Amino acid sequence: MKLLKTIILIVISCNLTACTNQKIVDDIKIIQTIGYDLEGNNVKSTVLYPSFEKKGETNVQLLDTKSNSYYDIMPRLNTKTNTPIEYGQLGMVLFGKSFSEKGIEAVIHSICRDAQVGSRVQLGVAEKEAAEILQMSMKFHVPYYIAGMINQNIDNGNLPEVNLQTFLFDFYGEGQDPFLPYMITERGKIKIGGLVLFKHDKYKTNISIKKAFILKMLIENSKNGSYLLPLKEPRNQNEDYILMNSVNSRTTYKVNEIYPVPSIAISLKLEAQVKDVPDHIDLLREEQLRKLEKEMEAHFVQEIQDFITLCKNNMVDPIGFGDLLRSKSKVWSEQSFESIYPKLKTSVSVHIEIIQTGVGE
Amino acid sequence: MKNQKSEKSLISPFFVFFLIQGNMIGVGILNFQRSLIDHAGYNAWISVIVGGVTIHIILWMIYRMFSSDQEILDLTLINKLCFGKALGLLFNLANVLYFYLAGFIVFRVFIEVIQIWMFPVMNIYPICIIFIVIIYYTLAGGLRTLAGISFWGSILPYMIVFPLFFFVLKYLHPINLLPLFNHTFKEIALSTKSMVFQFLGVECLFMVYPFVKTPDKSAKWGHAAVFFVTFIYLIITLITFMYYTEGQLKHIIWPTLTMLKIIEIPIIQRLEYIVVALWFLKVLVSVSISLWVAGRVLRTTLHTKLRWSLLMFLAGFLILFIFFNDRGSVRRLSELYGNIGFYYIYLYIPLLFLITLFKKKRKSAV
Amino acid sequence: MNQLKDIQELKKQAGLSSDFITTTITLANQKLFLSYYKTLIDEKWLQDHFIHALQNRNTEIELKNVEDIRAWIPIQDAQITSEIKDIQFKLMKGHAIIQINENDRECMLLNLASQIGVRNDNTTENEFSVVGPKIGFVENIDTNIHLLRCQLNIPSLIVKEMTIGTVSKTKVVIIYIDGVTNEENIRNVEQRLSDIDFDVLFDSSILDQLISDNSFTPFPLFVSTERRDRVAYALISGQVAIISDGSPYFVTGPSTLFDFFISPEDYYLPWILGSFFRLIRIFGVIFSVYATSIYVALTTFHYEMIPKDLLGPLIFSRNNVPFPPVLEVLFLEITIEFLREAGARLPTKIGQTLGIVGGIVIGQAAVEAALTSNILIITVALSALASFATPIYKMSNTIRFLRFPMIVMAAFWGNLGIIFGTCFILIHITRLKSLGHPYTVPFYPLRIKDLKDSFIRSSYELTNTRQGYLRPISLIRYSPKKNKKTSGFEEEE
Repeated sequence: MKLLKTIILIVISCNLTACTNQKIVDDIKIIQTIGYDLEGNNVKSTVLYPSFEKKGETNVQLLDTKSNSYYDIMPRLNTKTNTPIEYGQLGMVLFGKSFSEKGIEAVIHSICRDAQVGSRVQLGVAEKEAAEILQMSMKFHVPYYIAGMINQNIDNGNLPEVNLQTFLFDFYGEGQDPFLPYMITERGKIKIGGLVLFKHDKYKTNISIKKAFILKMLIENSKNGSYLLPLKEPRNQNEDYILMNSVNSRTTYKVNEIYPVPSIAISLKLEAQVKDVPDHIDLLREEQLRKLEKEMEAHFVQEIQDFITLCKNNMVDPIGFGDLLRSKSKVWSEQSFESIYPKLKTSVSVHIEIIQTGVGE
Repeated sequence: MKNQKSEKSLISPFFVFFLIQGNMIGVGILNFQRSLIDHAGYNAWISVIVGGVTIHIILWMIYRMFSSDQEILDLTLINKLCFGKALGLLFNLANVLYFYLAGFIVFRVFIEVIQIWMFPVMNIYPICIIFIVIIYYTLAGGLRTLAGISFWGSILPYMIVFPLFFFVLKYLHPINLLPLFNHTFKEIALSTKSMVFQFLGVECLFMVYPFVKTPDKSAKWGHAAVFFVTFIYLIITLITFMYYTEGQLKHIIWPTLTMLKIIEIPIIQRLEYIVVALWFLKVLVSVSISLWVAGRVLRTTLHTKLRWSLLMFLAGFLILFIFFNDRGSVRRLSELYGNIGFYYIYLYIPLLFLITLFKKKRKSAV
Repeated sequence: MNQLKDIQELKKQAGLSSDFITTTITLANQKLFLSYYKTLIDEKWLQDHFIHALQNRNTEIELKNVEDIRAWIPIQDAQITSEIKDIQFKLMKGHAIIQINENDRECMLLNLASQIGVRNDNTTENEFSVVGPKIGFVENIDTNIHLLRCQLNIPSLIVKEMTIGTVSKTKVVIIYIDGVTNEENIRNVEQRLSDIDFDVLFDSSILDQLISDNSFTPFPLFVSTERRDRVAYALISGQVAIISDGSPYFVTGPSTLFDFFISPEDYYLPWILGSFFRLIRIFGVIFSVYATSIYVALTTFHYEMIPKDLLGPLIFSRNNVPFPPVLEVLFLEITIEFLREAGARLPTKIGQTLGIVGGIVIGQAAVEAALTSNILIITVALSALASFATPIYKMSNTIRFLRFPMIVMAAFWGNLGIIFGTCFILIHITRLKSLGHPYTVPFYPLRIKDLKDSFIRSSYELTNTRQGYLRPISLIRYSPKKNKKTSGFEEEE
């Protein structure tokens, strides 16, 4: 028992010396959103953190700092607060457009190495300045407002699955290029304007939210997302669109040829729900339904081809054709793929099945 | 098979499974992927299987050695039999050092994991001391307690950690594994060599064997342990390879833990904080078994008291800890240990096996 | 205490007490010397049956020795002896001494022990169950054995008697079923009991500690119960039961950790429900030990782990609390312990009032005074509640105790500290033994066959064998009925 006493003594004395490194949850400023902007040669960083003063009321506070390096923003921000700043609950990193045009690798690299930052952090690019969007989001009094918007649109809207992990996957992986949500402002409100396509770590181009749906279908099984289709033969001016919701989709790629010019066959199967159609189309009639399906298929084939052309023109590969070819060939290199990418041949076939048509007639 | 050990200190053959896999899976499973892909890239999962198969052969050799000769009771006697008294003593002492080093590496690397993932600025010495106290408390209970804690220390972490990987499935890209064979045999062999470091620990059987109730029946549990470890490593390797691209994996030091960051369940997020803590149980088992084996070898060769040699070992941990206090030196030490372990497994054990085989042949010829 | 030489010395020493009576009964031509403790015997009975019988006898026969009295009186339990040790022992147990001559060494000991002070009501007081019998034990050992024999109607139920306690001379019995209980266990218990040197044995629970394998543990190593069904079940599954006179608690062993989470009710409910409630109970234990320490770990170190939606409410509730989480938690936990301790010592009616005062008033006021956060109040209250779900009171004490080291560890190293604490507990329970049997069976050493009645209770068709770790002499308890599955698909024609 003498031994046990010594053990207990050791444990207690260890305890007494270990009382450091505490991060008591209400004595720290928990940063949830960071924005990076370029101002001249300096990096301007803006952070948002919540404060919970009154019951049921959340206030979001803003801090910003300027520095000529990205690295020292935390110490600089700490000089402006009464409690330490912690970023372990970071939910969103937003880049200003100019910042992302210059390249975001340094920030990405540091986030990727940091054990404190989670993998579900959302990244995004602001139309103009990240600080502006952050400022705007403050008035909603909701922590993680922008990250929440993106997550909501991934779950229920047209955005493909995107977060820090998918970004890093594409960013560091060979044969695919990353993309991020594009945040724009519209009459004083924040809005997801589509996706930004990156070439390595630099902003290349942006696509609309409608095009984002095409990308979503191409890279994952989209169980949601809606798309407004124009009809080919409109009877009158107002009724020339139908709204379609994706219920289930599956895209398969077949590599027909790798050398000298790769050729890839894309076939997309889509189960869709059509809710609102012009009066003259009667979905209860089989041939009308088939006709509509055919029309939609043709439209999507065209859209996908357009999208691929857009990617080719910008030399970006968000769909991951490079990765696809890599998996099929034993010798593959990113350089040789890039030289061949504009010539890549693709054939698209789309099969659409309308499975639900709403409850009424 | 005769056993001089009293009935009370014996363990049932079933627990050989927990002891062997407890010693094999330590802290390496958290970061082995990086060194694994150095040579064979994303074909390296083949190396995991190849490594596992070779360990099965080594384990078979160990069992063969024990069953071939009634006089062989543990490693010290094998050494004596093979190399004579003086050289055998030398080999025994080298073995003490080897197992001690094995224990220290796992201990030190886990402390590093704590420093990186949980308490970057905290004074680490109290944690070391508590760790050492817990090791001592485990070993003070003897092999039966060790077997018990290797049971709990395996069941609890596995039960909680492995199901977590189901949450990762959504983010897997099976296409990463293709093309299946685009690396040469040499590259795969080199990856296998780096994988051996993870499989070290099976040699603890050398000293555990005499404590097993019906030792010949424990062979199936020993092989089951090796199979289980191979399987676990294979699964983790495949999941890692599908989760990260090769380029991304080069930027991540602790892939297994980083992978867990993606999991978000309603009551808790960032499960790597739990897993790091929980993995302490696993590491405790691994370190304790290595130290126990080192202590046993020392005891049978020099007849030292197990308690005092263990106290010396644990004090040595603290002293070594002061010397190896930065990442670089720890990495160099574990590389050294990996190399020694490689030769231990693939040279030393087969050598012992051949010598005992040869001696037995000659004996039966006479 | 020095040994008395003879009966005279005994009477002299006893005579110092005012309740020791020495009288003479005058018969027709003869005197009888009667001495007894009036507080130990039933005086009315003495008057009505003994003296009355003697005086009504009215014969002229002279009493030569005490043996002759036997024929006169209607008492079976009368013994004639001159052994001073025996006399002293019996005297203190409520026997009266009868002598023919004052200086005789030989005397008759007449059992007149009174049953005053023994309660008649034998419903269970502390281990309550909704379904099933409510028969509990009382403070009288014979009643208790009677109760037990009523349930186990076999001659192989063996009762072995011993006397323990240099002062109290308490009767202790070891009960087991011959042909079921492993002899090693019986020998072990007997050995340990006979090794005991103790003065006054107040309760069986003292015995429990005196014979335990390791006294340096917060865990109870033997189940002690006041329920008859529990003891009967322990006996039939091959355990040994011990009880001391004057205690309503049986001590049964060897026990395992899981025995403490078994309620007899599990066996009265359908097995699915029984298993479910048992799992709930075990979950309750885990929750009770860890809930508050996890709170401390999360709020002190690992704020990253708190889900984003919970972060706001948590920070808000802790906003005005001036203490670090660990002090806040210790403050509340100790408050709960005060309440429990006070409630246990006070009369039932006041205890209820206290519960209301403590639970509502103090809790509410503590939150309003910003001494604790209300999320913590919920956590602490829940974990206290969960600890009471354990059927054996001793174990629920242990669980409440274990919370405190956990909280302290969590305050120093967060999650890692909790795991450190868990490690200590795990190693500790792996090393524990109850009567030489490992404490954590059927998990370690793993006994797959015994798992069917551990954290779940399987149906009676599967649990027809006794627990293997007890090494019972006969393994089979009963032959299970063959379950005829009537398939709904194949209707009877």
